[in-house]
Amino acid sequence: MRAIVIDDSRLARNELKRLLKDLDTVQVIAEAADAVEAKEKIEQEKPDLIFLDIQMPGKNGFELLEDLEYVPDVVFTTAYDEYALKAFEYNALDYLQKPVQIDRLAGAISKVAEKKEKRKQLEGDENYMTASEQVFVKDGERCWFVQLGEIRLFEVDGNYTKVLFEDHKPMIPRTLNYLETRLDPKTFFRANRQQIINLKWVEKIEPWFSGSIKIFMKGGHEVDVSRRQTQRFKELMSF
Amino acid sequence: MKIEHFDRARLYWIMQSFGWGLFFILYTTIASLFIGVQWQTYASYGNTVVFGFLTSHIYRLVIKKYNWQSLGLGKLSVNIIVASLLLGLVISVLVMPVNQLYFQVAGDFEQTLSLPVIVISVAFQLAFVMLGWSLIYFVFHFFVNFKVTEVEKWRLEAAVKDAELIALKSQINPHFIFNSLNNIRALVVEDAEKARDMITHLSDLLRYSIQFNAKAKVCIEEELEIVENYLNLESIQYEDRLSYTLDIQKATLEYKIPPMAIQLLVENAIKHGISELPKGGEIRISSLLIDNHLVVEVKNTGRIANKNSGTGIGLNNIAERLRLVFGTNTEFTLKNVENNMVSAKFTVPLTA
Repeated sequence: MRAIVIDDSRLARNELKRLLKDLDTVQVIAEAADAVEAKEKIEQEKPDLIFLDIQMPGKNGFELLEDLEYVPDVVFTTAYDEYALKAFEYNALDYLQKPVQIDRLAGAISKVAEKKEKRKQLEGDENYMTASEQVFVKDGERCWFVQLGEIRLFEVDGNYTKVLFEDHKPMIPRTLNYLETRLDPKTFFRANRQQIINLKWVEKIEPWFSGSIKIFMKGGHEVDVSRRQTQRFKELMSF
Repeated sequence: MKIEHFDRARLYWIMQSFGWGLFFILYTTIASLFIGVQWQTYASYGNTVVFGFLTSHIYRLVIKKYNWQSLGLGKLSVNIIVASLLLGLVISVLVMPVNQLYFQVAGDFEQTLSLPVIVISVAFQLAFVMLGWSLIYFVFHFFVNFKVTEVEKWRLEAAVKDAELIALKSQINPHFIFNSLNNIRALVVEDAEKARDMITHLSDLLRYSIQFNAKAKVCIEEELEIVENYLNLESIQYEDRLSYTLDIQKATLEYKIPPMAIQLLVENAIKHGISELPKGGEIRISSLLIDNHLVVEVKNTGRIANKNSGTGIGLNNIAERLRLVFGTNTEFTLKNVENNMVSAKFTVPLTA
């Protein structure tokens, strides 16, 4: 796996690189000292994995993730940060506490490799974000990596978009139009101006007023499809 | 507390004796005025007083045992009225037959009445006496307890202040400790000699935070030594992103301040200043004497963006500790100053 190490302390980066040298599953291809540099290198190198410090000058680790268009797998590193630790406890994201123990490092990496293997079986079209890909979402103190396939619905909320999965609905700083261009149209359908739905989560479809349709989602949401999009929906669904 | 308890007990006996004594004198005097001096008058009232004394003492034991003082006013009033009536009756039943039999007073109109009627009427009179007794007892206790409560409130406030002071003596930020250890670990390979120095700095810093936290004040010289240890350690984290200068007036070195006061300001300057700046910045520490006041200032590169983000618990703690140690005559300011710097400054009156 190709990895980038992101930490504002040079010594901390060196320390991690030294530890990783002993593990032949990971090659460190670049390093970054802050979020700006990191974003540049991640988007350029498209690594499989990043080691990410939470506390950094300018944007912190979480803010960097929210900013990324391409989100690789992430192993967080932190010295001691109650706030961050709480976020991890909610969702069992992988994190390492500095100074890092080599065993724990190896454990985190094999977990990432496992996850990657699982995802490979779901792989789809290269140009779009497919159901197997993950997005990082954060809502107050809590944060998640969510597989797109788990997301039932995207809904406009001001300048943000609400993401509905399980029983959570955090917001991401993206517009619905942007998401529409990025999401795989085989799975995700723009039902109207407000919503994009995941077709895999559709429970039933009923005709509605003047030729439009209403979609009932698993988990209880009802979505009115605009007349124009109903036409598109029918085209998409017909053989 | 023991002395107070003893005093209270003695006071009770004095008041009890005085009260019943007064009762005796008053009633015998009045009776003698109407029917002339007779020994029976004294004997019968003496008898009443002895029983009254004993019964009211038992009454007091009951009050104490069932802790009537904790009762609400409504319940207490009902209890007092019922108890007074009951006690009046008890005393009367015990005393009047004897008085009627052995200490018959000549010329008393009560002689014409039957014994039960006498017992009942005297019971009511004695009930009023017991009511008076109760009123005195509880009103007295109310005031004494009020005073005790007041004193306890002050004691508690002082204790809370002490506890606050201990809690406010902040510990070293754990994030910093673990970052330092991680950096030293890397440094061991890169520059073993420097790594050794850093371990010493970290040890001194930890020792200081453990030992001096127990003290209310330390002298500036000691505090600055620790600040320098700290800055040395942060220098390996931030490397060329951090530079610092100390401008210390020699005369200020022996003055005393709460431990960690400067240290926490410097920690804040790094946390909210230097660590937020990708290009890093500078920290300037100064201390001087002006008009019988000690002025300590810590400046760092950066800006306070808004009131909510920067002025957190840390700085409030410092201001609070200074106020607890030096009194209200203390000034603490945090503001943006020229050259793109933030200044945290405290001014305290010179005492030692």
